[in-house]
Amino acid sequence: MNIARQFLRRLVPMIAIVVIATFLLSLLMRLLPGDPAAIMVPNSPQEVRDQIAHETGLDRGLFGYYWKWLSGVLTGHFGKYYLNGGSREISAVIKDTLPITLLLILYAQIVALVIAIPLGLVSAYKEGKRFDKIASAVLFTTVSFPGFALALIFSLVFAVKLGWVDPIGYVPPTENFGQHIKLMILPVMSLALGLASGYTRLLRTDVIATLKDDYVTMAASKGISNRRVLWRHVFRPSSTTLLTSAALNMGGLIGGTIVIETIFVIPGIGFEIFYSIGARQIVAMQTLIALISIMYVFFNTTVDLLTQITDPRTRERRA
Amino acid sequence: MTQRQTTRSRVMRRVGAAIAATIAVSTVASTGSHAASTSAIKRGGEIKVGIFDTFPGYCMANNPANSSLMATRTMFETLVEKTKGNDFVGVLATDWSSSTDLKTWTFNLRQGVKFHDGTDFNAAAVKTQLDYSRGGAFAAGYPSQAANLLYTLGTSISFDANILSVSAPSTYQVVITLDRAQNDFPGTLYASGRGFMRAPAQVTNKNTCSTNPIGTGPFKFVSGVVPGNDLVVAKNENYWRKDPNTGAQLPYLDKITFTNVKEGSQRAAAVRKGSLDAGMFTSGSEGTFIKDLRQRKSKVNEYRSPAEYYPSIWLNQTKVGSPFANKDARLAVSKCIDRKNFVKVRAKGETIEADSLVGPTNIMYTKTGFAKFNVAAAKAHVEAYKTATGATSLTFSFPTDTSTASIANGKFLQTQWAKCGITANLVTEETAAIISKSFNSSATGGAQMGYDSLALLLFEGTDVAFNLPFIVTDTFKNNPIKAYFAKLGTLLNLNHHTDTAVDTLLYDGEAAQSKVAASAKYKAALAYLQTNGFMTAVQRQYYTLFTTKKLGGIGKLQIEKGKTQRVVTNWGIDWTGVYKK
Repeated sequence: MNIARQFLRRLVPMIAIVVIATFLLSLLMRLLPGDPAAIMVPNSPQEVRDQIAHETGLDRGLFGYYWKWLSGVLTGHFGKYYLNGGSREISAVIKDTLPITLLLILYAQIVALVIAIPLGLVSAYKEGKRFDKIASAVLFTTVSFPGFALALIFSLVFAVKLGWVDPIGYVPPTENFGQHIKLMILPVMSLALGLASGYTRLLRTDVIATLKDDYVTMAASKGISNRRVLWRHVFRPSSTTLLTSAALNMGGLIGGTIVIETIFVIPGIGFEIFYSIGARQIVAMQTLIALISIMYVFFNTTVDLLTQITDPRTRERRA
Repeated sequence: MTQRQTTRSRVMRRVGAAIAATIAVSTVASTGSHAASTSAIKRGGEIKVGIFDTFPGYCMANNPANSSLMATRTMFETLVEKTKGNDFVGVLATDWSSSTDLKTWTFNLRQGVKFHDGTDFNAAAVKTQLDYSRGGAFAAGYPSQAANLLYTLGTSISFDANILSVSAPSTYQVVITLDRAQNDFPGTLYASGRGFMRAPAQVTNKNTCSTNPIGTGPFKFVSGVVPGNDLVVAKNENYWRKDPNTGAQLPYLDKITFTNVKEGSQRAAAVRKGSLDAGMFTSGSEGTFIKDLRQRKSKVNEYRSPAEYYPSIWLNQTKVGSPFANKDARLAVSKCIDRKNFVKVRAKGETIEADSLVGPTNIMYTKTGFAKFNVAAAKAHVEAYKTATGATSLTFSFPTDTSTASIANGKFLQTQWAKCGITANLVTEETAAIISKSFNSSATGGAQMGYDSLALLLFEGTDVAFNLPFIVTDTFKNNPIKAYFAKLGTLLNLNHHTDTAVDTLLYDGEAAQSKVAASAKYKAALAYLQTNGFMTAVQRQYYTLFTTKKLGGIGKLQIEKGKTQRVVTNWGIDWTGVYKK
């Protein structure tokens, strides 16, 4: 009940943030040079461009355009891709592509956490020792590589040179799960390695701080095994920052998937955003990027609430 | 008979016997190999092909480029097709003839062909397609229906501007009347592989014309709408064509997925690994990947087009602020391009240095007047330009798209021009934005060609029909339909010149009764363009398709006995006769 109230209390600022973010997005779209309708259908006559401008509200001022887009979204009309002689509903694109991107992000998060949690705990436990130093050096190197560079290197090494996996493509898990996993390995690793580095370093710092807390010393002095102390008494309170970071990254990762999905030809929302940008489909860009900001806010709020459940100290502080 | 003669005669007999034996063996071998290749053809299977272009839609006003044109051509067919020998052969038309004045063309259509929606391919369907693509439907419906037909307006109107009327005197015969004499009219209908015959149900629907392709081709549309999706096509079970040599029903493949792999390195990697069954590449910007794949002969096969694609640098003569109304300005820019170095550095040697606006296989080809690289001469032209106009510098805008290759090409040229005292201001914009500013197909006019210059590949091939609309001042000439399209006649003339001497030479060439007479006029026209520096060229390029060893039948299928289609062009290959081994 308390959580529900908390959620409702956070709903208003959440909506406000989404409105402000999407409005700023509209502003940026309108600042792009050139006539947006002409760029959407470059080979079309002026009369068609005028029709599209009228339909989308691009012939109005900034507020008029934004209101037209927002009221459309609120009534389930997410806009269209415009062509000379037809159009395509963006809602259909979202329905097809969003699940693929969410799956990719989920896999990347799982892999990143699976790497980061044991590595962060052990590094913190062995602070300053050889393992910690080597792990820090490797992680620092990994995090300095952008995802797209890792993607191209992985593709060259694992797909072309070693021939272990395919460099491009996507198969739904329902169609062929084995092939699905095989095709997702490279994109997931390209996204996950950078994340894992960040997570490990966050967890390591928090665990080092927690290990110095009195209750940890007390637990150790009671004769509880090191493993039990680490997992039960240290990891749980130290995971708050990690959880928050992971949640924040959920939104940010959709942005990261734009390049990764394009390189590996995965038909997710990032792939669609890339081509919408290339084709200057302004309405589609606005809707798809707005979706990222909505998800960003949603995941942030959700993790805030989850943190309150997992860490009683936060709840008490807020109360 | 001397001993020497006897010996000689014996040797000759042996040689003769050996030749006869060789011929016999090779005949048996070739018969055997033909039989083997016929029996080796397998039906069914799905393949994936990597392309580098996206799909703009499937209606008349949407112009698919190169690799996306290849994909689109699996669903649509043209009335005529080009053979290896550069002549035209009927596909949906069986034969054709023209009146002696070359102004009336009669096409007999193939019977028994169905569109994918089950409707009959006939003269009425051809008339509908041509009337909608040439602006005839717009003009007939004007003004009451104009708003509903705006989607038909596009570059096709400029291409078909010579058509006065289309009539259907019988179910399978079309008569096309032209404004001016045109000896190469089949080339206009072919439109470099874009002269699609669409079903009336597609053409007349303004809401779905771009998204619901209905053709007569070997494959049917399954899914894939713009901008970046895969295009999936499936076998047309009712396809009309059979292999003219074996009688086998076509096509062989069940399904093809054309997938856009923007990254050339990934496309190449996927072909090497076998994730893609084939991938198309352009030598203009993907020389590195082409070279890499070419080294993997054990894994891939290469099918390469002739270097018959001629990118030009168009120089806008009428835009306010553009220096190119002045001949010296044009010649300065043309003479200050180190083409040899460009080909070596930017194209990794995978293109050919231009010595004319078109290549040697084109009927217009001549080197006369083509501005060769000469820094001193270019500098002299710059000074002459300044003296004549009072300008303090020769400065112009030069757009590049946002790809790294395009920007690098632009910077390379910019550096070269700077050495001659010419300032090129690079304007980097999205391709769509550049196209929208360069071609404004408004029926009522408006701003056209928003840049001082533009590097764009428009010239291609061996003939004139496809290239002419980009050169002449007015494609409509005397066609009364131009009353409805104030500026579309000059839409494709990116130089926006007003010199009708060019029109006269080219139109005279198209009106000539012999190929020799036509060629002389075309060469004169090209020499005129080159001497006056209307535009210039840097290189000639080709397209290439790499496939895994699993694919067979590429380039083997004949359109009719003895008539083999060009194997690879800018639109790739024909997938009708391709099979999976």
